[in-house]
Amino acid sequence: MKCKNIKRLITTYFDEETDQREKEKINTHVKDCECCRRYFNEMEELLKDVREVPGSKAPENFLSRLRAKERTTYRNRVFWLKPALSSAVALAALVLFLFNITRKPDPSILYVSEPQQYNFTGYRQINHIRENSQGYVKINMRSAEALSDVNVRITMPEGLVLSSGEKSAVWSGDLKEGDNMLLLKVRGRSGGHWNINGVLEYKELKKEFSRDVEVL
Amino acid sequence: MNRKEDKKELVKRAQSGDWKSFEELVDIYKDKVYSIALTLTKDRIEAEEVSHLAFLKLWRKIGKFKFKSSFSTWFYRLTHNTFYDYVRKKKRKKKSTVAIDKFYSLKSNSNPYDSVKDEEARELIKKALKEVPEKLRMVVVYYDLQGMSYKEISKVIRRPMGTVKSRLSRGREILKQELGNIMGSQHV
Repeated sequence: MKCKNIKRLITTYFDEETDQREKEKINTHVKDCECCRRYFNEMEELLKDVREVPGSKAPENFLSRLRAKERTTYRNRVFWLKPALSSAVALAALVLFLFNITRKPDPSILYVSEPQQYNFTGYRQINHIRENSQGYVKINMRSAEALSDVNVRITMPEGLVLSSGEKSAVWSGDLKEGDNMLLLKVRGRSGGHWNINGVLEYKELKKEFSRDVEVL
Repeated sequence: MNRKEDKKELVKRAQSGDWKSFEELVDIYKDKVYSIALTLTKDRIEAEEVSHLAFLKLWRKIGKFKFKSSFSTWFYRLTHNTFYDYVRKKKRKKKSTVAIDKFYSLKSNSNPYDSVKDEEARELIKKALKEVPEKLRMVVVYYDLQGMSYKEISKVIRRPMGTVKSRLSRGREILKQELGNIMGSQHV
């Protein structure tokens, strides 16, 4: 057998799976071939060293960060189950913010639940976001009846931006009776307290709302 | 209860939606998965990102595991696919760049592997390993670093044992050459 072929066999000589016949072939060859014998010794040393290379340890916060991602993913799944709203929320998420929609006359048609009443996946709600990190803004709308052709316009302040990079967004769609949720993915741009402003429009009705968010 | 049964119990509980048990499984596998990811991505941040993706996929799909094969092999198969999807997507976006993280200066030696004994030399092996083409590197990592068998690797990468063996062989040849290049030796 040629040295080239023997060298190829030598690369797997030290594996448990290599059968005895193949090993004998190599043993016989390396006895008389100095070049292959050297290759054999070097490969043995190399594999011994490679197998001693310790694996890398996962970072310390690996699990807590995984936990945070799982929450986000789960939220996304719940979110996508709401097709009536999903077209408005093409953005993903990390943190929840709550909007209070200020009530104007005619609350019997449309009103908004208190933030605490909506237990969305049970995650901690916070009202701040870090610079350059992303998070969710949640708008919770409770309607006393099914309503069609509702618009929600959002305007972002200087220190925040939608994850798409845009400064405003409009959602148009129908509200079902009960709770309806709108999620927006936003990114902190510069530190400070900022107001995200919005307006909900239904026929002649206009409900303005605002939420103070701190960017750290 | 032995370790194997413990793991089986954890898998069963995770399948029923118990996140705490799932976290225990993550704890068992996280270093191995991260280590493989790091070999593939060559970047710590990306390695963590892709490891997280693998575990999130496991959480979603763990219910599909039927205990007909080894959980480890099934999970490594899933991880392998996640990693390759990630790498493929990344390649489509841009060509990856390899950062030069350290400069090594070692004396040339009659046998380059005489020097490969200390921590720095281990780093050299890791560095040389990064130069081995991806498909071959993964098989070397699975066999030589993770201690998998030909059979297990064959199941993970869904290729015949002969392919595993030939990739391992070529991967080691290239690793040896690369190590020789790094160390400036002519004896390879």
